[in-house]
Amino acid sequence: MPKLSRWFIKTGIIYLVFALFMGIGLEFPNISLLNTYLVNLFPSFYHALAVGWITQLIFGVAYWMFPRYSKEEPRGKESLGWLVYIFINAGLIMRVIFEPINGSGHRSMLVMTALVISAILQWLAGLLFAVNTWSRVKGRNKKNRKRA
Amino acid sequence: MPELSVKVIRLSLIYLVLGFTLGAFLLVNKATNIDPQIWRLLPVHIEIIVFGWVMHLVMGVAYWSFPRFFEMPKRGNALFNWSMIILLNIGIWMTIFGDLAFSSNILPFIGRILEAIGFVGFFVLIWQRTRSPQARHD
Repeated sequence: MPKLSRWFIKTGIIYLVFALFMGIGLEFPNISLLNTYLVNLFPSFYHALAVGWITQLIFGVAYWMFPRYSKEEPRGKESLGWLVYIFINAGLIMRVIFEPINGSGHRSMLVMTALVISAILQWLAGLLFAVNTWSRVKGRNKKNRKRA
Repeated sequence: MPELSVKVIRLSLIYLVLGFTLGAFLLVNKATNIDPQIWRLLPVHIEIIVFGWVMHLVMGVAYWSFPRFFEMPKRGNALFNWSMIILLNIGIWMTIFGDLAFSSNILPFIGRILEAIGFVGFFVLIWQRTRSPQARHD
């Protein structure tokens, strides 16, 4: 399994555990000192599961197992893969930190800017993954076999 | 990778970009309050991510990698499988447009039925292919 896949999958597992703990916290918002923060944590909870866990697991397994792009670059542009990893995680961490703050009414330029950057980073991660994976999704015709 | 898987997985990548684009719009709107109407895109975002991105990817990979039949056609009737994919996609877009533009219940209702037919039809095939590679009669 390539290094990048291991990072995607292990980070995904960390997000799963983190989201499960968030889920426990969300069940007890009233007894927590972080009351206003926790009640606004629902969108982050779902995104930690959907983006942090499921999407990263898919990205990691697809990067590992999809057909080879070529002999020289079997998994497409590796640097692009690492950019996807950095963008999706930086974007998601910013979201988990700042979205509940935004939701609890403590709005500031810093919070707004962080959320906009988070949105752009996650969007770029999705786009770059699609670009890097597109040419690896292919049939086994003669031309593809020769190239791989 | 068979033709159907290539098309379905590439379609899932298009849905991924579309779904992430809508998600980015929603998050930017949450931060900056551009227009409350943008919140109407939330069910579209969820529909595209769940049924468009994740389910298409699952279907494409399952059709490609699950054990094949011993008799031809090895991966099941291609025409039937294409029909299920087309029904599913018509269903997805009927649900989206029904929720978004027409505010009617009938369009999403028919859309959900088409989605269900598409999924059930496709996974009936996958059910049959879910077996040990050696077993002829599981």
